[in-house]
Amino acid sequence: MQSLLSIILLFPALGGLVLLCVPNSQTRLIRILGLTISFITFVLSLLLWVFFDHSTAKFQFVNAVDWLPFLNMHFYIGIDGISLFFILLTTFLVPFCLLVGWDSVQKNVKEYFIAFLFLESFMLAVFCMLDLLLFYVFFESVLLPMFLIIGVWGSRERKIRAAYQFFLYTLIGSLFMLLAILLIYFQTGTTDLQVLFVSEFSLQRQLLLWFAFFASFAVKVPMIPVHIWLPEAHVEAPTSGSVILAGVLLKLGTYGFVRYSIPLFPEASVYFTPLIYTLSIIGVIYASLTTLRQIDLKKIIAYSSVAHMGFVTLGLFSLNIQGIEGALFLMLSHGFVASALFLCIGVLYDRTHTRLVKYYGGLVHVMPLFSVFFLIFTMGNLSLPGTSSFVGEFLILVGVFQTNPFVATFAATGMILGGAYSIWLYNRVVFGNLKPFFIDTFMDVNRREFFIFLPFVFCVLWMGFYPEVFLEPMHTSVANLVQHGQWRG
Amino acid sequence: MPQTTTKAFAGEAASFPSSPPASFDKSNPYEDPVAFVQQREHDTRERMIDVEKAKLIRERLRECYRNEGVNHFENCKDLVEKYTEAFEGKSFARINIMRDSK
Repeated sequence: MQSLLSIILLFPALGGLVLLCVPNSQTRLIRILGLTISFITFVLSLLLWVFFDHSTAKFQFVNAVDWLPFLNMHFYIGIDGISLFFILLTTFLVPFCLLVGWDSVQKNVKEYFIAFLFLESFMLAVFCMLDLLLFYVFFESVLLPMFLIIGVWGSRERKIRAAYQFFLYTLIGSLFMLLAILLIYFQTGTTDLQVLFVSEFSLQRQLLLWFAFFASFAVKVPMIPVHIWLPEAHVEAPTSGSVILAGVLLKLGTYGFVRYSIPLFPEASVYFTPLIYTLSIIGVIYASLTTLRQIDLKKIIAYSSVAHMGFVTLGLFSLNIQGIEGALFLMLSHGFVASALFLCIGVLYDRTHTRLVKYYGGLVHVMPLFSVFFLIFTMGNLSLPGTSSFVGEFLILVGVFQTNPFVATFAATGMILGGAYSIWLYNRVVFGNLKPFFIDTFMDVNRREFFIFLPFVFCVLWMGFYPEVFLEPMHTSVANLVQHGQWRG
Repeated sequence: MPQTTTKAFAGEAASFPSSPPASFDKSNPYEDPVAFVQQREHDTRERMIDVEKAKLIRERLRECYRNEGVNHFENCKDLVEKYTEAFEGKSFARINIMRDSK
């Protein structure tokens, strides 16, 4: 069981290598093989959940392989209650990404499946890496397949610009993190995360290092004002690219905050909390207001993602158990809700090849089943009680209120604005008179799409009605994180 | 009816040290990293135990309120005091320590 994590990590990449050997013409075989590999990875990751010990905050399923032993750097992996669900979220989403491109991706099918399988391995590696330098390596390597997914399988000519923007924004931000990692390495002589947790950094150095890490993670989250790449990338990416972008890639930034910035530099985290609060509040309100003005369906969801991630950073930097658990929960919830909404838009785009809101209206007359799914996910997006986002946002507000009631009040207005843009979007697309532009092409969800949506509905409602299943494994790790911060001071 | 536990489960559970590490020096926590980690885990565990104890008392208090009705002011007083003691100063609070303020 100890090597289970390594197997999960390597399985998609090895599957990608196997796909390389299959001839390009065998598209059906490639699709079935790719889907089977990603599905097996998901089933294996469920075993992690089953065998995960909730009672300890220690890293579990730990494996270490020498990478650069003379530099004291090792390929060191393991998970705790914080990273467990991100592994599950990643392995859950990838099979659906492959399924959603089943019919719509007709060119370079083999490369599409290989790109996704490698991307899955890289994302999993980021979430379970316990070595700082290798974390950086995989954090960056995620860009490569994603750059190809946007640039090759994107929908319009502007996709190249979007792919470049996505790549360069993240790369420039990450440069500071690399320099910070070098500084840490030369001070402590190691990049082993568990050793770094118990290494002392002076306050001045913590501030410097924290800001360097922040430059990288803030771009990835994304926080205002470095969020411009996200709507561009979402709009130009194929549906599956948007799903993985919203579902997992945005979480790499916030995961970085909770895994590295807070425990390694707790004093700097406290010092910079007002900065994070300010940026997050601006993010929540400004992004929500921007969402109201958008006419592209994908941009609406993209900007609402910026607003939700603002909530997440608020929760993380409340620096108490409720806030951090709420942030983790909202990250997970956003992974389901935003991904499902992008899938909904993908369903519409497959039929009409436009994402402009003005071409849609009265879909409930021709697509009743789709309208039900879209309603459930829209309600999830506006954090209706009973859906997953409500639990996350409520816990975040509880956490933030203890620290700063003013900030909590401003954040709560984001929930109202969220309700405004979500319901307005649903109203414009689903109700009203049926628009005549694409009247022949509208048809309700097919069997494949139905079975793609169903697990998302199940997860959104499950997390909304019985969140304890997801929160319980986090308790010890988050409690340990808060305790660690207090000790490090 | 006695509750039965499987041997495997019983073997996995409850294998934590019950006391903090002797070599931990609070004034210089970075001197012994192993003791640092052990102390932190010990503290986390103790805090979690405190939280669970408070929850148990809260359950008993809730039952007492229901059973006693309007008499709860007198008959549940001891439990209320126990409950207040149980959570006072024992929460995880928040990371808020700055070196300058020490």
